[in-house]
Amino acid sequence: MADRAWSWRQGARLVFCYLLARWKLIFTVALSLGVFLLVEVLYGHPLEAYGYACLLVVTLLFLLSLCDFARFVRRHLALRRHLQLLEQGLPGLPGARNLIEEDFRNLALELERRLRRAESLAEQERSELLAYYTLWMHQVKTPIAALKLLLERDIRASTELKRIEQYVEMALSYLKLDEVSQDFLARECPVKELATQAIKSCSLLFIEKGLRLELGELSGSALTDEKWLCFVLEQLLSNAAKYTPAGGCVRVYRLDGAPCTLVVEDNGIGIRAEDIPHLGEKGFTGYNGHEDKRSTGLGLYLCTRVMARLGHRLRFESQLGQGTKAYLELERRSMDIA
Amino acid sequence: MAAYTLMLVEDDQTLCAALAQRLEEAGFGVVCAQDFSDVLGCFVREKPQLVLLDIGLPIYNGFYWCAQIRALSKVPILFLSAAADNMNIVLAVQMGGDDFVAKPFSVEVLLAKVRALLRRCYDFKADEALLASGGVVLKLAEGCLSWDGGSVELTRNEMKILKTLMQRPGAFVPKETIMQALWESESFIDANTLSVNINRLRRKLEEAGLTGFIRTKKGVGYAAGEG
Repeated sequence: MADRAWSWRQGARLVFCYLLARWKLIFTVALSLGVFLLVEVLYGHPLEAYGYACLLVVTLLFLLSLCDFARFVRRHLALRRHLQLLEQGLPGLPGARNLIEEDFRNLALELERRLRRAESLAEQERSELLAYYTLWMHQVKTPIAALKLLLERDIRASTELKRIEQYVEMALSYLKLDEVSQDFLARECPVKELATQAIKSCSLLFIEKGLRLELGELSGSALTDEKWLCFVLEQLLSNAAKYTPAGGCVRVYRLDGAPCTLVVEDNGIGIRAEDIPHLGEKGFTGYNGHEDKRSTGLGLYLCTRVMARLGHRLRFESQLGQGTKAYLELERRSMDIA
Repeated sequence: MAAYTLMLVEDDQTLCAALAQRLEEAGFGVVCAQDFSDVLGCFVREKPQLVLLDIGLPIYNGFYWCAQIRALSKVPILFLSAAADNMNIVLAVQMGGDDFVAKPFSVEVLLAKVRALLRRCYDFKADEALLASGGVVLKLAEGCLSWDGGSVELTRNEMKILKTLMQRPGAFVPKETIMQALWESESFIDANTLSVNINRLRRKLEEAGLTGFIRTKKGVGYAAGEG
């Protein structure tokens, strides 16, 4: 019923709008009839003939107006539909009836053209920027590789270099995140190989800080993308290393049973309970992040996004002052391609 | 002495020189391509046993040269590239590359891959098999240390430790470097375990009659052989 009431109100509004649009015509007819009436009265003619003529004119005008009103409503509805279909552009915009309508129509079409041009320009700029940043990140890896060789004997310098390398990887992942599905190669990977590969890559961060690393049970394999999962593991390991004081211990193991769940556990400073639900949010640094000026709140955001793209899930458990566990649930959910 | 010659095609001079030096230290002959308009000519002249090929090169890219070399030879080709997306790795293999190392790489990993390829293609018996320091010889293939008057069998970790030390005979190597080498072979040990390992090794050598071979300098590291 509410629907019907709404449509009555809608109808009344349409009629009102129509009358408003035709007020000059109505006023002209009323004025003409008034002038005739005045003249008839002044001449002292009987008003019967005048009344009859009035009735005819008004009836005729009413019938014509009905047709006109129907057209008015049709055009109104057609234009409204275009508003909803604006995404697809403005093809089939109803033709103009007069010069003014034509002007509005041209205005709309011109605006649309400009919008499309601006959009494609923006898209082109974005892809040029993307191409340049990708190029830059590949360029910078060669001098990093050279420095790595030159500084091999210097543990402190190598550790800093490893950080730079990780930042470059992060930036590259950030750029490619939206194209993960293109750069995705799923295969059965032995879990142990994934873990050791990531650990070796971060070894300096642990050795330099004097952290212990323990490997637990790591049997079986998971269907995943080796490169992207290692990126996530490296991020989690370097986070664990960052937030665990010297002498602490980081453990990597898988939980019993299917689906395969990898755990990166540390006995570091832990995360505040109120921060845990926000860990995967972009730019969220939390209490620990505020303490550590190096935190940008990007690492875990990227990890969470990458994991979602891979059809996995990442979650955290933590006890303040006792440590953090990161769970990588490697089951295959439907891949998030959007 | 170098039985195997590697050809290095890398346009970054610093990286090229540093890498060439490390490969030579590891006992390989190294030729660096200089003229990037004629990598193939260099290949034909030098007849290397393995090619290390960068993808991003001036004039033609690495894929082009890979295809050119493949048309002539079955030599193992190892791609070295910063652009390590799956696309490029797949392309590299399709163009006839045998393996792919992403920049920035660890030398240990690169050497391991080079050796694996040589082993596969040439029946290569690791040239690194022998390391000597002041009359003491580490036989990597057999896993033992021998000297004038004795020898001992070594565990995997002991061998890795001695190898790291004897690569620079007499020089003090920081414990972090030794740990890194051990981590590279998947022994994720901490500093305490390392010193326990080294003490045990030292005792083992002393019992076999080799005294004072491993020296400690506090806060610096360990050294093997004459100082």
